[in-house]
Amino acid sequence: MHPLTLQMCAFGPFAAEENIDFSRLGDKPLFLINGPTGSGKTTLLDAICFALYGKTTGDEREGAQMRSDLAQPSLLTEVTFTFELTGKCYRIRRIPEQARPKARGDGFTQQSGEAQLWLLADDGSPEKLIVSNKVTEATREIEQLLGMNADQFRQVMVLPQGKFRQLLTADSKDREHIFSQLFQTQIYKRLEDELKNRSAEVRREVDSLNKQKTTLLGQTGLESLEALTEKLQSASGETEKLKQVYDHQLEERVKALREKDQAVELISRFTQLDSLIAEQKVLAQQQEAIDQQSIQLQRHSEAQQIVPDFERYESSTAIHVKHAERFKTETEKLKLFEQSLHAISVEHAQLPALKQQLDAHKAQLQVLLGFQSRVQKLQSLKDNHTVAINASSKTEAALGLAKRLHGANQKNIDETEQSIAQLRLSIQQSDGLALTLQSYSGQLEKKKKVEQLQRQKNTLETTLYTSGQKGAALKALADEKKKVANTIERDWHLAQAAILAMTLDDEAPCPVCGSVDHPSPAHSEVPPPTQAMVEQVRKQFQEASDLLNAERENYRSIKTEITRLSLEISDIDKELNQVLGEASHSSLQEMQSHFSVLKKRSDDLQTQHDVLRKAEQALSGFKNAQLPLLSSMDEAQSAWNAASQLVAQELKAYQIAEQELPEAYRSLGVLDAAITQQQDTINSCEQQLSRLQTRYNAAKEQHDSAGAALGVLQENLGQSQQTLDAAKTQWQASLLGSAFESVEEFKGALLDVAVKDSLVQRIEGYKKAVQHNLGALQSQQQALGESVRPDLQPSLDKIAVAEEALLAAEQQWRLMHDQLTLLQNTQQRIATLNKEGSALEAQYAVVGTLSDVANGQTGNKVSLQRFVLSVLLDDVLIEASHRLALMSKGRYRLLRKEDRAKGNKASGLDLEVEDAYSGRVRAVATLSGGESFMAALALALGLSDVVQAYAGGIRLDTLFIDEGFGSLDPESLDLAIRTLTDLQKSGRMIGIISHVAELKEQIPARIDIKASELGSKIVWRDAG
Amino acid sequence: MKILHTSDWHIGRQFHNVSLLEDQRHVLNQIVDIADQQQVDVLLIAGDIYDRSVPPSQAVALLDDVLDRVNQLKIPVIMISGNHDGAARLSFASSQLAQTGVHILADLEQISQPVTLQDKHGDVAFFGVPYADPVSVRHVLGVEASTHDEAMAHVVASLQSSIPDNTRTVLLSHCFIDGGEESESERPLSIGGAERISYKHFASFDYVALGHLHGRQYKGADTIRYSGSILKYSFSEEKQIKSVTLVEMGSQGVDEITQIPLQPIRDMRTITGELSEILVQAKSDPNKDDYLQIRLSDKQAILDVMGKLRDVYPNVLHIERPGLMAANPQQSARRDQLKKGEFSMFSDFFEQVNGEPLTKEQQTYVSQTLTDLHDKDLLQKVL
Repeated sequence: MHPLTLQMCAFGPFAAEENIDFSRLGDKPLFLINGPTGSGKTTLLDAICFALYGKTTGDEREGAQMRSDLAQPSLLTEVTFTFELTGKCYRIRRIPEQARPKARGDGFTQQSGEAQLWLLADDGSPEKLIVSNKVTEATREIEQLLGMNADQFRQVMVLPQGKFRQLLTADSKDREHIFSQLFQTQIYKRLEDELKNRSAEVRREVDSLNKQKTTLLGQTGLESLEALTEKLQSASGETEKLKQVYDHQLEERVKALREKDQAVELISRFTQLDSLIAEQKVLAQQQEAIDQQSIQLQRHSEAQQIVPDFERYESSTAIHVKHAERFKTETEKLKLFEQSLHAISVEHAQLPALKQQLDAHKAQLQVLLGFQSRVQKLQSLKDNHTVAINASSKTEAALGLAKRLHGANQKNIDETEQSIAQLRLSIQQSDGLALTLQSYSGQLEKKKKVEQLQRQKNTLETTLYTSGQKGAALKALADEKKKVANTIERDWHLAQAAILAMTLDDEAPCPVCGSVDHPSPAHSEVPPPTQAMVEQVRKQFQEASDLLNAERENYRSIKTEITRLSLEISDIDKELNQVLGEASHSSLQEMQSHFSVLKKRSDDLQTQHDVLRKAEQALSGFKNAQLPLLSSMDEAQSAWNAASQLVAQELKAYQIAEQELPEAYRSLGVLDAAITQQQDTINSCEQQLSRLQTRYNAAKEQHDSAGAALGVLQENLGQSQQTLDAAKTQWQASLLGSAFESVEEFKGALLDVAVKDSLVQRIEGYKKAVQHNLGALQSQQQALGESVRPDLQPSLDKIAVAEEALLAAEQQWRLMHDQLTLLQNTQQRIATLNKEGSALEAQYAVVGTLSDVANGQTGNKVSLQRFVLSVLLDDVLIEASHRLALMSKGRYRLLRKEDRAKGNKASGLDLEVEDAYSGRVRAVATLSGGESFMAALALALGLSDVVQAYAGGIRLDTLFIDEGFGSLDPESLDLAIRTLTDLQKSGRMIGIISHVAELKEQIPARIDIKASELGSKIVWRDAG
Repeated sequence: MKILHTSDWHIGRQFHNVSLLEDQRHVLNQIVDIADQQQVDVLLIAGDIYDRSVPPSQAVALLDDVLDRVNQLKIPVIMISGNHDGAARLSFASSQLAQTGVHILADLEQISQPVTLQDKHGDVAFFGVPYADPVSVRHVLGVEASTHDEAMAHVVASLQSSIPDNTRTVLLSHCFIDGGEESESERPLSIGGAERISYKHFASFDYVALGHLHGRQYKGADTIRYSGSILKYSFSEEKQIKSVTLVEMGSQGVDEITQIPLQPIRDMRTITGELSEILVQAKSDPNKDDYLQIRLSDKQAILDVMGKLRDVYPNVLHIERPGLMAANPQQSARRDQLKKGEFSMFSDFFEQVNGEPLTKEQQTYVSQTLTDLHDKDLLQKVL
């Protein structure tokens, strides 16, 4: 976390709004917060901590108490803090709970605490509101972002005033808490807990198994498993015995029941006998009625004998009446038929007239049908005529076209001939032009060459002049050099004399003249030139004359070239003069323009030749086309003539056909309509005729058949009268011969069939019942013989006794059996439980051991997490020792206490310090105030280093050190600052809170706080 | 004119809790003697006179003694404040002192007023630039400067107008010239880098007397020179020769520069070896009183090392045990296991606590439990 800006309003000693932009202190700076005691240095840290967690760094000042007493009542206490975390910027704003003046009126209202958290965009504007109001939610969000809670933040991001020893002397348990959070090693703690839970669970399960076993045994009232087995054996024997008793009782009961059943059967037989006797009496009472019914039946059978005669008489009477009625209706029907026949006969008389009318219509139809073919012929003639006219007009058009084509071709021929004649004339005029052009071209080339040569000559003349000049200069130089060379050479010679003269000694003879007296020895005024100098000058002279000679050679060669060019030019000029005469003096340009005129004319002539050739080709083409055109014109003319003749013929034929037809029927449509009408009329007449005939025939036939039927009926009537008379005579005779006095008596004796049948049945049933009753009575009496009616009670009593005995035996047996089953079940369940128990014990052997080891309950009291943390702590201590050694001038190193703690106290994360001076290891608590500050500082720095290095760790890139520097001597202070400077170079922001004046001089980046009675203010150093 | 140039006295400095006041008094007396013998015309002190801005009283007394002796010799003294000095305290009564020939130039606002001295060739103007951080320069001169280099450029530019014509000039400055060789005992001028300046700013002066770097050296030109501190103030300087610089100024500027070495009471050096060897050697060591840093190559722990060493070398200041600081191999093995994962860590832990490795059953159980835990985590994340 890197702080970016902090904004406080009426917070702590700061009465007004204060803004701190940490970026003004530089990029990841080491800075100092400086100010007098009580001015609010620590309040800055409190503000940061409050903004993040709603608590202050010391945790001694409550967030709500942070309101400044000096602030204006209207100014709300609030803190806004912007910070960067892993590349993202966040802003958090908090308002503590406080009293605030009412918006209207006097008095105060309670402002409740609120907090907002934003994620900021790159430009610093809020991008996303993460928490809008809830204080607890903001705190939770911050804890998640930073990966630590307020306490941990206070311990690792801030070395709080007066509390740095806590970090150093914290015991294993506290340190474990912080480290596990910082290094995210909760997985190990959770593994410990999980193992502990699992082993506890296994233990619990074993316990519950044992409890179950005890409960089971308790249910049987036995102490042990052995007793159970014993009891089980004895119970099994007893059960068997009781079972036998029960079976015996069961048999006894069956016997008693059988005796009772026999007694009951005998009693029922006596009862049957009694009922039979009673029945016999009832039957005797019914005898009289049955006799009367027998007489009635007899009279009926007598009457039955004469019934056929009576019935024949009755039926004859009925037939006769029916015949008479039929005859009467048929007579009336015949009368009606006669009337209708008469009416139709009248209509029938008109039939011949209708037939005549029909014939007339048919004749007319024949005439019209004859017209039909003639009309068709007329139509076809008319069509022929139209076709002929069309053909004629087509041939006429063809003739016109042929004539036009012919005329156009003729015109082309005439025009082409004319233009050919013109072209030929113009070509003749331009004869000889080509020859002129060719010769002129040659002359032009020569002229050009002359010009070019002249130019070369001019250039060479210029070069010649330059060469001359250069030659002159070189000549002068060579002369100069020569003069110098001569001078030097002379000087050298002169000097030789002087040199020689110098070697002369008095009294010694001169090597030149031999005189021992040297009155005037040569001496040189200038320093004598050396041999080398002479040679150099000579060489220079030689070089100059070489250059001059070369230049002269050059000059000569240029001059020869010029002469050669002049000769060539005059040759060509002469040649040109001969050909052109005066014109040879005209300039090249004039000649070129003349040539281009000639050239253009020659080109024109060539074009005219091409045009002429094309025109001649065209003319022969036109002439070839002329002959076919003429013949096609003639053909068209004859075709037209033939077509005109055909038209006249067709017209005549049509007029003749037209006169053969009446005017009304000339159109096929009208004629067809007339024919259809005529046919319709004929059809309707024919239909009327046939209908009339049919109706007459039907009426006649009806009348005739009705007459015949009436005759038959009259005959039937006579016959039925005779039959009736015979039947009547026979019936009267039969009645006289019978026992009955009158017809009424006869009819009374006759019985209905159903009545008769029921009578017969009843009489028969009665007879059968009497017979059956008698049989049964006799057989019952025989069976009973001498038996006496028995008594039931004693046998019933016997059964009751047997039942009771049986019940008792069963109860005893069941009780014993249940007990046995219970014992067996118990035995089985205990066996199962034992099996389960041993499985659990095997499991516990694994998990129990793991749990004990992981939770540090064996050996050296180090739990798994603490072991992991000890490895991390070792790393931290390496870093911390490195720094501490620097600050303590090589004296101290921090070590991890490896000895096991006394008693049950957790161990493994305690610290010790090694004193290099004494070579002894001692407790950190023995360090002096300043030393322990250095040790705490080193530890905090080492911690942040290692936390950063582990991937799972949390970023600790900012550290605030609240005081503690006052306890250092000047030299240690320097070393501490140097350590912090090194650290800051590794990219960490370090804020130091101190009023030590020395620091102020050493750390230029700082926030000064100025205290006054009106509250403190932040003063930026460069601002004033 | 003869100029004696010195700097970085750091009077009152403590080294490893030992006060160096006695050593400093010894050397400072030597300097006064040299000034006397060489008949110098002026003594220049280029900053860091005291070691702290609030010097202890003995330190103030010592400076008082030294200045008194120099004054009796009638040799003018020109001094500037360095980054260790408290400028305001140092310049107490400076205007009064100036009348007696002790010129304390500690006020940035008065840098354009040179101290002018005469010799047979004429005037020599001495400009003193007290140490100032860029913020102060920005404030006093009203210019924009964020680095020391920029600040110095402005300071020198503001001086240019005050330089009289045809006068030789000497500049005193307390700064860090880029390319200079550092020692451990110098306190950084600025935290986080930008403390170095270019020597080019000083090109126009005849001689530049520099302070701050404790090793004697020159940068850019022979006449832009650090005299170095008067004593070795850290073990990193044990190979350096401490001296004062004598500058002879002719009519056209510097004629000759001589460095006169100083002899301290006690040298500062490092002895490397095993304790037993060192103890044997010590008997024949003529300089037993030297300030020593001892690097013990012994690998085992030794009781009361300091006591044993101080018996033979009374001024052992620092003991290093490079042999002991070597990383424990077991430790790095454990760290690797931590990186390998939880299971590996647990096996190691179990073996260490229980004395025997995990059985196959236990291994299965532990890895299953871990899988369950991770699954639970995943589940929580998903939910």
